[in-house]
Amino acid sequence: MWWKALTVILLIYTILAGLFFPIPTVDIVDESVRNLFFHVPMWFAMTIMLILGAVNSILYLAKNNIQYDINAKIFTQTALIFGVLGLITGSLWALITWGALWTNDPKLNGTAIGMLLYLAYFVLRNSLEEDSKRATVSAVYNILVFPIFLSLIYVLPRIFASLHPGNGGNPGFNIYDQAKHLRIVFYPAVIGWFLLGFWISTQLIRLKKIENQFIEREIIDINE
Amino acid sequence: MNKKSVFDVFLENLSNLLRGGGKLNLIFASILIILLGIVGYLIYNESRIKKLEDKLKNKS
Amino acid sequence: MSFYSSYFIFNFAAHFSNQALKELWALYKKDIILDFKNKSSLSSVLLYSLTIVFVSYYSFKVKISEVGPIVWNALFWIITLFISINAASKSFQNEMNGVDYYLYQLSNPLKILFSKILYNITLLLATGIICLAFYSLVMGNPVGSPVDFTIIFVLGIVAFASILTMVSGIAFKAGNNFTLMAIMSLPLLLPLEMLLIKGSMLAIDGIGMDTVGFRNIVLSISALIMIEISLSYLLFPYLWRA
Repeated sequence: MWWKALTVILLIYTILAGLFFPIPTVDIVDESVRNLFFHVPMWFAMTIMLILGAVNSILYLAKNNIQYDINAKIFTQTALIFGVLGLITGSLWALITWGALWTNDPKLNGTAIGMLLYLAYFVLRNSLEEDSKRATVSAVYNILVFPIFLSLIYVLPRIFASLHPGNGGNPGFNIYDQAKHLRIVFYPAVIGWFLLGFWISTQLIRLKKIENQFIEREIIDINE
Repeated sequence: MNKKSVFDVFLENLSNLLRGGGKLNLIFASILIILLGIVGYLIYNESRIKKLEDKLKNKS
Repeated sequence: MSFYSSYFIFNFAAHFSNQALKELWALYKKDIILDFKNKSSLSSVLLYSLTIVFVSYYSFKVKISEVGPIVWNALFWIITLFISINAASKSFQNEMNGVDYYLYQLSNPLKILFSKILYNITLLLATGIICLAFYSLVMGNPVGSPVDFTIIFVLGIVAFASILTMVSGIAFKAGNNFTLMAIMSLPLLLPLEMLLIKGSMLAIDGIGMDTVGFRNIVLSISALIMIEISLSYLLFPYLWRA
């Protein structure tokens, strides 16, 4: 479909333009601001996929269709992978600009706790076996945890003193008067990375649906 | 913008890297290869899923 | 903020007819009486809390003058965290073996939720006060302003109880596994823990309700309690019917 080709184009554009286009240079940050096109879009993609996961959980509780529960699980799974990638890119960026792989920053602590929350979601899923009970309990946990996650990542860092730009009294990236140079790569990057995550998730959902249908019809060998 | 246009800076940076980057060359190439690998696997999966879905439709 | 709270309180109070209050009280009394009759769970909670205080005392083996208020504060709240998780994990113990189906027919899941929250508040308050007394005995008590410390302590216990009741309900549906309960509750309790440590550090230094900083922390903890109770209020009926 059209959006899959768009993903490929946007991602290649992001990598090439992100690494080679001119950028405004500031002290300390210098060229590593190019990480902006990788680190921040991964977190945005993760948040949007968690929103999709929470919405699917709510839909499951409202309509009791097991497909919504499968969607929620797969969106959360992909979001978790994007979160880990975001943490890795963030640590590398922190090594260069802040001097250490991990600092005592509220946003970092908040994201670590958020990752733990969603890992506990998967532990919970594994401990239940009956399909409908597992779906209900994990949907309840997902909806319980999602507002807490949002407040941990977006609300709490803005209140307490933070090292991140835009939080805790620091100016955001918009103060750079040449920030429009960043924006022509940044906005396509956000869309591109989110579409990649969405593509991976929808493929996993379709594969799971096919697997379930094969199991239902008791076809054991798929090469039949 | 200033004297050089965006494309000029782009080509200049790209040629600098390709000419003598060394470790940077390796990192850049690995990022591209990993991304193209993921995208390639996704595209391959598309055709596989289509085949499986057709098989299910034919069987029913 | 006041509009939301007034809507919430109105919705909340709408459930409080006389009949509903009697039911809540009956459920609450049932849990407490069952606990007193079967002393094993209460005594295990008490033993766990006293042991943990003793172990931390032995690890330091000095009084407050050498440990310092920061360590005293942090250690106290870590101990309270683990004791609360242990105590709250027993809150749905009485509903095992099919008693929950019986209760499901008798009563509204919301009443069960609120009676459990009240039961947990009582249990955690009692355990917390005993733990605080014993902790002050062995490690000293550097608290500068006791009134403010009590405010933070009581708010903390209520917040622990509200979060842990919901998590204990989820763990109960997943087979009442203590490990699962610990895994789920620790990340949920961490932001609360940070607020409590900050607030009680201020109370120990003697800074109290007359400063903006302290009042902000009290407001944040109260907001967290309200968010948790409203989320549990919305989600517990679905959980109970699973």
